[in-house]
Amino acid sequence: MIIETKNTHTPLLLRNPKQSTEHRAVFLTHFSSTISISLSFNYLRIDSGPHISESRNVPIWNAPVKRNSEENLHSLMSEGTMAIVKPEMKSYIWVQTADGSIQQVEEEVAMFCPMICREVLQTGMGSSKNYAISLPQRVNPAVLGLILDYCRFHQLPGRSNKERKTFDEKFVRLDTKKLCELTSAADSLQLRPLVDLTSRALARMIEGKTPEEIRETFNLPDDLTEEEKLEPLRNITDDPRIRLLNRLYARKRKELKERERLKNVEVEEECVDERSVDELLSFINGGNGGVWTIFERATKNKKKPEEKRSTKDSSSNNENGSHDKNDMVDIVATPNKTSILQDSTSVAFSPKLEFDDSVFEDELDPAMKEELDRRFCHWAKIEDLYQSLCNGNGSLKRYTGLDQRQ
Amino acid sequence: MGSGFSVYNMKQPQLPELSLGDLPEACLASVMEYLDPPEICKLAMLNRAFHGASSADFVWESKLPPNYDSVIEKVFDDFPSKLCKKDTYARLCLQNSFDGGTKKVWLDKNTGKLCLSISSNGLAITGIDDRRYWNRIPTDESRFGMVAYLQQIWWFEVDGEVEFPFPAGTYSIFFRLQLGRASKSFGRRVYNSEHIHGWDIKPVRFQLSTSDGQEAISQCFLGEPGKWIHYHVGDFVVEDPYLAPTKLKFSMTQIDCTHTKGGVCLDSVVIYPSEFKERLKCF
Repeated sequence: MIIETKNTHTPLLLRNPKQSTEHRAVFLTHFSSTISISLSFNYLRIDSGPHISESRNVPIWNAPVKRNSEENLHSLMSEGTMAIVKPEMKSYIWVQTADGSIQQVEEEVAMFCPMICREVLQTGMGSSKNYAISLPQRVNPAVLGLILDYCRFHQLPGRSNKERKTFDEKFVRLDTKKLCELTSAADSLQLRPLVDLTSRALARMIEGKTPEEIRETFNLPDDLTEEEKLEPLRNITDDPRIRLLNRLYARKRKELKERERLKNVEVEEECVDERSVDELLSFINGGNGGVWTIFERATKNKKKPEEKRSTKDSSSNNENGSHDKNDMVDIVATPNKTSILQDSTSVAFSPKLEFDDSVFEDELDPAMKEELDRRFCHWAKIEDLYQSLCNGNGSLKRYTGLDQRQ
Repeated sequence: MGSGFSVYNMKQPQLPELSLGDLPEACLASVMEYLDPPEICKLAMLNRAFHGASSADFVWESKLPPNYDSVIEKVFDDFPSKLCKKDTYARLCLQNSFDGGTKKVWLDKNTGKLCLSISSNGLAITGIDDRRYWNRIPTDESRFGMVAYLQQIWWFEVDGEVEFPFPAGTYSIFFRLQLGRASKSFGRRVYNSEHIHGWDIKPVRFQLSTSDGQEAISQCFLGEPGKWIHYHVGDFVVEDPYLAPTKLKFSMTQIDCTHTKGGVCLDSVVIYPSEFKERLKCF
């Protein structure tokens, strides 16, 4: 960064104002020296040679500058200038928030923000009320106050790390709305440390919460369409669980489209559920040596006598008495919901198997999952399958990304 | 709000209140940077803004190990170059085989730390070719589908070495062993302990050395038949992965020839970040 001073009246031009962090660093070091200067009333002698004796009042910003305007001093940054600070006179920068209100801010506090700093140096604005720097839209006066509190604390180089940390921790004890506003405003002012601080605080609030809780806490819209939620996953390793999940998603998407087409017709929720449960079960039944057929094959030799017994017992209970007792597959696939439930006592995968009404309405909710898991204790793979299908809410779990999400 | 303010109030309508949903995606992404990958994925399904923010490159780049490009170079022959960082992370989290299938490397998906496993095929086992001593048996209890089973031997020695660009950090090496030979019978896991002998006389010695001079030695008795146990060899520290890939040599020996020993299944050697030591129980 090079600064030229041609004579005392022209402003200082910065060649390379883009590195805001550099600005800040230089500011801080310079302010410390200016502060020490102010205390001891010494001049800072630097390379600018013959100018030193002349340049007592070095205005920072461009015309329209009144020579006797604010108070003399300061100034800034960098090597080629001189600065005198009279302790009782402070310099202020004028800023204007999006709602039109204009306020003064102490210079060193405001300069802590890279965006304000850049504005001042590049365009020279901020020297007076008429030339106030307009802050980005996301900065409203309340949040500006918070930000300036932060800057005021941190711009003092004399603070220890522990003090800064304590201040930061107290600083972010805000409600979520305020935190969000603060993050947004700090980001628009490019105040990176504050963005990091607030991001971390928000992250701490988010982690560990379920999606519903997050939506509630932060009042978020749920604007992903159902279709987008059912996007198929990319299956790089041909994981059979992902294949199954994609197929279920495809089925659900088809269902959605059906629903769209029949929007006029009143479709009872129960029927919809039933259909999809059926499809689910029949798919599990039929496709690729599905779950039930595997079990059926394995237990054919063992369970048959029990089956016979229980089907005989409950056949009198059946409304549809026409079920083949050996053909468990068919029983499960019957489209009639009530018959499934009725036959549950007769479908003897193991003698104690029972299905609840509520189970089918929720499509493999946790209760049913546990039930099934217990039954199929030998079949670790199947257990795995169900675990990957269901999460705690009873809704189908989505593979959101680590494994293979588009 | 502090001295030095003079506010000139003008009548303006109230600005709309900001909530998390109104934050620009870049801000959301910086919030996500402080979350771990499973959380980020959970958030991705919340709404459109989160979905977009969760795919931000800089978020996932911070989760990848710093020297991930050298890892990719070592492991993959043809890695697609246009992958976004999120997909790169997902790809590295899979168990990727390299070195002719004798080794597998993956990132732990929750923390992004690197783990490496070397199969019994990649180790130098004394007497492995002699079927009187060692046999290779297929099993699905191993990442590699195959373990080496020892019937009996006088000189028990297993050596191995690996050279890999480990990211900076501390790692622990383990031998994954089981006393007894496991199999499935009527759907249940049973183990055959007929050949187990000789492990209670003298302990087994484990040794580790790295190319930059770190060494570790430990010894212990093998115990608890029927379970896969990770026997800790030692720890090593990787300081600067960019200087040179880390070279390791490790071994497991029981060469007291006054007695024979046998009945052990050797699966693999695993190298985990030291933070995972607590997690390692059986299997």
